[in-house]
Amino acid sequence: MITDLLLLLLSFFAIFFAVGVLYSREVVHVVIYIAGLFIDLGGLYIVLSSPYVGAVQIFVYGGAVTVLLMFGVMLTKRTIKEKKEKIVTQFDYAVIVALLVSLYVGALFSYTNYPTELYYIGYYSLSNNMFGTYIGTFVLLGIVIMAAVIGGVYIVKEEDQL
Amino acid sequence: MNWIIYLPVIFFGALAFIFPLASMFLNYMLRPEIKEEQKESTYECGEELIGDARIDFPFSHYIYAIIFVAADVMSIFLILWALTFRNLADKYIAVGAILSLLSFVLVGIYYSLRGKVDIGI
Amino acid sequence: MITVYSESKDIVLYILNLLHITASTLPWYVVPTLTSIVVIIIAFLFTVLNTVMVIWVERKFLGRFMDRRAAMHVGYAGLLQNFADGIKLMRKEFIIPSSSDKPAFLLSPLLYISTTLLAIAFLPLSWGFYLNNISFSLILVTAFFSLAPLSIFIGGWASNNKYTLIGGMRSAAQMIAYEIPMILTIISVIILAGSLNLTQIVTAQYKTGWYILPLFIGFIVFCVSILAEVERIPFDLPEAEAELVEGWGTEYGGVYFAFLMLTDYLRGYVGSALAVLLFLGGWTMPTYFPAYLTAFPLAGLIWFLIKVYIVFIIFVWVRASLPRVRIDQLLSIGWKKLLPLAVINLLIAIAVVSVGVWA
Repeated sequence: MITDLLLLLLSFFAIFFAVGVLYSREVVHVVIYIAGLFIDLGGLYIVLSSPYVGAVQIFVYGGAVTVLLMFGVMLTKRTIKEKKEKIVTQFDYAVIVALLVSLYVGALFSYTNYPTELYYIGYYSLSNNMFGTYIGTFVLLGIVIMAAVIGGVYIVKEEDQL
Repeated sequence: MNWIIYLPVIFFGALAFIFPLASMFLNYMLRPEIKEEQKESTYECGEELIGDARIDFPFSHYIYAIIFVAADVMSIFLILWALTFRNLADKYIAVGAILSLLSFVLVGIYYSLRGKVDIGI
Repeated sequence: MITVYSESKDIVLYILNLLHITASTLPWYVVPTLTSIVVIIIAFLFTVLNTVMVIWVERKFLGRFMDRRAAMHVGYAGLLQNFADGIKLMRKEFIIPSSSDKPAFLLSPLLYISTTLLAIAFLPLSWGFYLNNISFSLILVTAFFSLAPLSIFIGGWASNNKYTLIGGMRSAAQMIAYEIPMILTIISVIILAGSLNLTQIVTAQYKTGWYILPLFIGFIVFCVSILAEVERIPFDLPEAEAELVEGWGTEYGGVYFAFLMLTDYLRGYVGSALAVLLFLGGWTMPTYFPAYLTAFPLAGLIWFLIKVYIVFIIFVWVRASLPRVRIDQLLSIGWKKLLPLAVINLLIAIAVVSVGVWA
């Protein structure tokens, strides 16, 4: 019962932050709402019996990706008080489409059989899989991260520094 | 979820939000409130304000954020490995894999910071 | 030995007994809830008192290093000085600049202090003196400790002031530069201990010896990273007084200024407590100590506090001795000098465990 209550509360805040991203008038407020959404998702992972993934979500997304987004926002040329224009111009069509999509997705969810109990995903099952079955993927992941960093250098380079 | 062990944390989280708000309320009750024109402008060591607060953000700061994200993603895999590598079936393959991951990301970081560390501001 | 959780349960059952209510007639959630409330009040008061004592230690020792006497008048030997400062700040006016962004301006220090208080909730202080025994408390402490650059950036931007914006950016760049050596050093401790639970790390150190001996380089890297995360001298540039007045917190007055000061020293306390728990054996002393030093009630708590204050006095000593480092030198120390040292430390830890010495 408490799990359901916590899930409801966290989902309500997730929807509130997501709507805030769309409807806010100021670019930096968008980054604040996204940061709140990331931390909220971390809490959802913890409640749903994957505590390691939840802590990692707060650590990587809330700590690193938010700072990256903030730096990216700072690079644009805008003043502090520049507001966006009105975003939503076709409100009626949007409401109809949203209702139809939610009915469709709700029908899909009610026809699937989800397990009713949460079992705890421990570290050993994660690491046995990661270093046993998927070890090739793991080494490729290192190469992908290195490619991302080198791509970042290419964006930031001066004329003589490559 | 065995939620009873999280009960003190949830209450402490509530206290961590209520304590600053209660202090703000106490300040609201106790403080004087004298509105003056000059108090409300921002502080620039006594000079007059020129222009809006818009600065040229140095572009080279962006690489630090990128390397930080890359190193953060590397360290979450490193934490998972550090917890369990003693009890895995094949320890040496796991040690080799993690050393290769570490070396790839560190070579990337070394290459990106190879020039001088340039701060324009 | 004090066990806060079970003793609070005794207190709650005693009070219920006085009111002639047996615990079995109440619903099943009442006794754990009341126990939790008593536990968090004790833990919160303990933490805040400890932080105020830490500020007192810093002021007295800094005064003596500078050949002056600090904080003499209020209370005996100045013990009540910080309470007097807090009361004074409560009565000051709180000015919101007219051209600032009000919601973000009001939100940012609240976020700063809330995430730091949440990080404190996962630290154990003695054998039974903890709020919870979650099996991954170390990574939660690090995660909440690393949410600070976001709030600093928002606070620096929302004041609509060029200098706070610069200060906020420099603070965020400094903090993210020093988190990677910190997390790599924590990983080397996890390799030796085999668990993420802070109580089990202390127990492992009790059995096999303190981790400062194989990981001495790691201890130095960790302490330097904590000095940079907490923004103490010598890594003080984003809030240096001759440069940027107060950095990102220039426009905050009244109770918000009290929040900023309190959170700076709360983070210093969390950093020192983590250094003691991870490297110096927590609240345990080696087994060859005589029993009259380590077996009286509250012994673990007192040894823990002694060690935290010794580590913090070393931080104050560093503050009084070293000059301030420039921003590009600061970032180059973080990325180019501490990161290789942390990697060498990690390789030493792997080698030590593979040989089998500290298993």
